[in-house]
Amino acid sequence: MFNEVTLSLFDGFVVTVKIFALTLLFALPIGLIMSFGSMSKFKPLKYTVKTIVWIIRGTPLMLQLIAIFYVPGFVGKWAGKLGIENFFIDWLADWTVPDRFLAVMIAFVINYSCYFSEIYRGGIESMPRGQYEAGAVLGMTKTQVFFKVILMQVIKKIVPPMSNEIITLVKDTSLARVIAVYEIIWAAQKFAKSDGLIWPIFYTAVYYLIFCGALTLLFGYIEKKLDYYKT
Amino acid sequence: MPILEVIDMYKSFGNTSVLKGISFSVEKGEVVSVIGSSGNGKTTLLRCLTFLERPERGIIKVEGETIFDALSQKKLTEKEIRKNRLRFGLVFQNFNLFPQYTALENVTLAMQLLSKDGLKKFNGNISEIACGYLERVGLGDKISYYPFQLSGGQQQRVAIARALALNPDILFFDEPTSALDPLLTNEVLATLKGLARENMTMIIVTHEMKFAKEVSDKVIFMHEGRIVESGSPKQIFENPENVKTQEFLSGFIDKD
Repeated sequence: MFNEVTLSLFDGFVVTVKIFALTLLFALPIGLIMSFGSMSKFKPLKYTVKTIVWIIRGTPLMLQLIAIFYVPGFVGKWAGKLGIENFFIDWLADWTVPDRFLAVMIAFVINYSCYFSEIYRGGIESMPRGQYEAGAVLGMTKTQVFFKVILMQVIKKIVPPMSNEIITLVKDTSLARVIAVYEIIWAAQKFAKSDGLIWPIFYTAVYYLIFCGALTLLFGYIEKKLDYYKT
Repeated sequence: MPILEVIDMYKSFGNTSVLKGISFSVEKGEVVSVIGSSGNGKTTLLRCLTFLERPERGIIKVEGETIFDALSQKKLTEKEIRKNRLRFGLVFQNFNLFPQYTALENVTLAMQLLSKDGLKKFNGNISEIACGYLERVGLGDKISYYPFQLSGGQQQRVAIARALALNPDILFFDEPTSALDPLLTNEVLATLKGLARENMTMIIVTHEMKFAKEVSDKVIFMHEGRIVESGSPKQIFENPENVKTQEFLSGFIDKD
């Protein structure tokens, strides 16, 4: 039985890792772009981004998952009732059936992009003005100053808050279960329903702990690597 | 012909006018000290000359050629601003070295980028040239040190080498020793004296009166955004004509 549970949980864990990796893949760059938006001198852009960040950070991720999963379907059916029909509306109306995993990914990417954008913003805004000016008087362009002088220092600064957020993401993946996406918690609950076994649910902690432990070691290593200089 | 000519420069921040019609000129090889109490526009003047601030009015000429005219309708492109900037070097009060790079990399970074972009040509290997400048400021044995491993005086000397390496026509210093203790101050002032002997054209904003008196060819006294008096060090320090200059300098004489 133990082996059967271990293997079954591992299947769920693969999905957990998939949600984790795909979220990082998209949210890390999108977050950086959003941080530029929130620091933009163009006010409409700045306040649009700030509003999005406020809404996403101000509501639970679980609620966002539910919204992304159900709302398009509602909109599709409602539009259908009004007699509007086209490919997009049909796709929306059918949304709930095939795209559970896509809904999870959209919600996670939006949510984490917002959190990451704030981390980037904090890092970039903490850079002393003198660094930009020193680059400028040496004849460097703004882009050169950003990539050759600023970025490296920002990365060093944001590794600790980033690693914190990324470790939170590992555990947040369990929220996918809310819209019935099969992941490790769901895999464990199956045993409670079919065999009356509770321990597989607690057993999932081992997977989470090993994963987070590995990440902690990785971030510790990166911090150490970046420790060759001080500001 | 003067190497630098500044004509009628005005700059304000909001309602505070900081520069109220600054005009002066500098000859090639001259060392000009700018003195005056803090908050009288000395730093702003250097920042306007290096295009870190944009004056509302004023003309900057280098060797007779107008490189900036605030009232001109023609917008300067980023490349033109870069080119103009390269005529001048600026050394900051708080060094502003790049902490993630070694002393050598601090000097070579801009050299490499400028040579790649075709804005500057260097005869020979960039690293070797940079080493030469670091040796010239007495840091030949510190090229692979990171800024945090160097003393303030050494950091400032790396910053001087970094500015020199781009071969500017004129080097500006914004209170280069204000962040240093007396011992380190002397170390940096010695470097500046060395540059003066090599006929580097320099404008130095400073509170080191003894140094200004010793090294400068010309001294400018600024008060409330204006140049109220300028002349030879002898004239300014021994026979100041303006009341404000006398008041300012009396504070220093008392200390000696």
